[in-house]
Amino acid sequence: MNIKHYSKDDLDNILSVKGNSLYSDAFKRLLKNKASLTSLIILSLITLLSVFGPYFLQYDFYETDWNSIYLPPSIESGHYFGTDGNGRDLFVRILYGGRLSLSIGIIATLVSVIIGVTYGTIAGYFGGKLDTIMMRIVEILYAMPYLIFVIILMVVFGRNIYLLFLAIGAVEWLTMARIVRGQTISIKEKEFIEASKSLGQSSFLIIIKHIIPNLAGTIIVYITLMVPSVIILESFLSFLGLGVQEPLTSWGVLISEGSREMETAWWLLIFPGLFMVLTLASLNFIGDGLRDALDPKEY
Amino acid sequence: MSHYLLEVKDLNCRFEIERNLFSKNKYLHVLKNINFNLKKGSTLGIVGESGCGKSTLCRTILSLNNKETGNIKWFSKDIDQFSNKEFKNFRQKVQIIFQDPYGSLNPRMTIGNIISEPLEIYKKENDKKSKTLKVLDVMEKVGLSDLLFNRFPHELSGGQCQRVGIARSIINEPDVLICDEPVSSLDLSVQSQILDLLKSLKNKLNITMVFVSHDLAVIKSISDEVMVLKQGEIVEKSSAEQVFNNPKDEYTKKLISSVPRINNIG
Amino acid sequence: MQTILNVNDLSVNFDTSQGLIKAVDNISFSIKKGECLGIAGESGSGKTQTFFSITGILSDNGTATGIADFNDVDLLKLTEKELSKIRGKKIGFIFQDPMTSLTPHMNIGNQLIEVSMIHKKNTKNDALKKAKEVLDIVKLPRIENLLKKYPHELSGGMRQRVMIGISLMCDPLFIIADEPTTALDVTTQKEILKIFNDLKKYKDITIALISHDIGVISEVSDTILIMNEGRIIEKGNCKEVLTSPKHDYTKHLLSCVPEWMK
Repeated sequence: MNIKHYSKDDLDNILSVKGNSLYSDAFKRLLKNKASLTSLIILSLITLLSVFGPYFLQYDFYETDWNSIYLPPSIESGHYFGTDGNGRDLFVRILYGGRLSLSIGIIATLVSVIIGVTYGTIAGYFGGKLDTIMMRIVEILYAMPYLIFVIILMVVFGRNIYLLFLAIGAVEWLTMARIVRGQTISIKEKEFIEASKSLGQSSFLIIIKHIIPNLAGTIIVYITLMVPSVIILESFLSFLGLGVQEPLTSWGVLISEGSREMETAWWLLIFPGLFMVLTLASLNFIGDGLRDALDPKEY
Repeated sequence: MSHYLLEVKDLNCRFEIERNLFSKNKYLHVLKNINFNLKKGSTLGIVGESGCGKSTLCRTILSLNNKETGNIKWFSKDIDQFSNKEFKNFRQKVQIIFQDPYGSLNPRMTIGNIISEPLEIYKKENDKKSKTLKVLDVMEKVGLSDLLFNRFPHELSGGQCQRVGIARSIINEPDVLICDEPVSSLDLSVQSQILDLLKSLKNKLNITMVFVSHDLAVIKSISDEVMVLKQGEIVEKSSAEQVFNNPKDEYTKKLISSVPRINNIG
Repeated sequence: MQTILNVNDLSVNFDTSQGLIKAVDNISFSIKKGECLGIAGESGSGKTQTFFSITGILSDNGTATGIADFNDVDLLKLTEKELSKIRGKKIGFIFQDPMTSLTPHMNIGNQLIEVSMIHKKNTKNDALKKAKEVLDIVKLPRIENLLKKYPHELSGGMRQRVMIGISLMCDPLFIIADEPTTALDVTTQKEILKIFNDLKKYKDITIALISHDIGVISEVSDTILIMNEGRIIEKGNCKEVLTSPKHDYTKHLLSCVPEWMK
């Protein structure tokens, strides 16, 4: 075959015409959704505050001040959200707590996504006996009381923050695996998968190039719904006293402490609670918005 | 060495529709005792109504479906006895074009990537530039504008997507092209363009074709040999001229007479 | 013969994220009682939207302007409530895909009598009698259990006959058939087209037959409209237009029909 000759300029021109992928279309639709847009802004603000805020505040999160215990919120004292029973500034502790809660949310979710997607695509794509065995394992694990499992882990290995990540990730991947498997089964019936097989593509590459990119929409939506549930799980564990250790703190720890002092020092519960609720609600709205945005042209 | 590229003997294919624990499983016999050969350089038209098994036949001869019994020989070798290498070679030499122009393309991939996938599978053209040039070349051959290279399937019309499917299947210069209702989902004027494209590619690239359709007119315009399927069985098999001008089977006659003619009013 | 539908300067616009799209651009045509008008054109020509807009089943972002005089009533000026009284009763519909237009969880009998009981306020018995009458017209076999069957238990051709039956339940004056045979095999298509011809001849029903298949149109239609990109390219007596087309686009469409079918 004689191949036509293209000059470099011609090639550059051709390759510069970029199409609109389904994701860029979806992103534009997401930005038009007012609830999602507001939530994105709020979430970004909270994240930025948590990461960079502490550098601009005058107090450290572990700094105790026995002269300023249980101070209510005030602007003059510099303790905008008040102080706790050890005289520590609540605002900076909330921001530090935010760092922890958000990073647990993101990292544990990421771990469960990686394990869940790998497991789910293999079970869904290959089907048959492999699928049956893999899913039976998932069902058995689902039936296990995870809380007892986590408590035992914590008791045996001590309250280690990495163990917390592991324990939470170990539970959440099951849901992701089930969802991914279901989606894989429906995607693998599509004609372009058959087309790829007819071209001689290997199963491994079909999963990577064709199935996972088409799963991405669902996975993204589930991530935005999983992160809140991970944060709540961590908070619950902290509430039970199994979460992070002092002086590190998370929103769960703060809410747990705050609920005990609720009657005398309301700010210790309200402000951490407010941050938690705003974050979870934002994530949920973004998840809803993503689901709507990714829907129209999909499949 | 026979001059038949494909030899099918006593092919039977069935699908399980009910699995019972205590009684016999129920099966749907989709293909019954199919026997035919494909001569190099010819176009075999397979025609039949919905449910006759023509799509299943396409997939079975490509080994995308499991057969129950029977013998399929490609290039004089039994398909069940292909080594991994021979199988991969077979996949490269026998390509298929699907009915649904949008469904057969991955919606998340650009046109350029879709068409270059076969090059990557068989590791032809390892650097990006020569890959791009080869894709652009084949895009021109099928009548697609260069500018569609980075676009996505949903931004193209049905006819353009079908051209992408054709480009993808000819980029590695196959010997056989199996067309499963390639124009049924397209508008009338686009249909004739795609058919003309297929005819010209067949001549230019010396491709042997199997053309499946429910549309008798389309089959008549492109086939040398014609096979009529009814409920999984071959009811008539002959040259196109014989089948259309002198049909022997009752069902074939019924099919031909059912096609609406323009000058029949009322 | 009196004119049953008179459309004047009809335009249909859709408000989309890519701007205003003109689906139908200022068209005018009329249909006489007992006649069949065939509307031919490719996808996107506006043939379906023309009739959807007149009968009020446009999607939310569509607006229709013009006059659509049906039996001395301008349909475009009616409210949704008034239109819903006409749809199903005076104007019947037959859609392309009977599998999705029939309700999957209701049996055939119930779907047939539902229309009759809503519009004519018939009792169940009267409606059932009418249903059996209608099944005869569409030549569905008189099996006792047929009325109890569900759509997925019937073949494509039988489902389409049921659809035609449903449209006949209230003795409509006018039936709009949108690509009624596209999803069917060619042998089944022939039978369905015969039913249309019978309806025209024996029941004096006016039909608007929309199709991209010119062969189908020529089997049933008296007059024909050729549409492209929202405009009427050519209109007139079906046989005349198809044997001696005046406009280039019509000639182009006809050239795509294989010689063998002419």
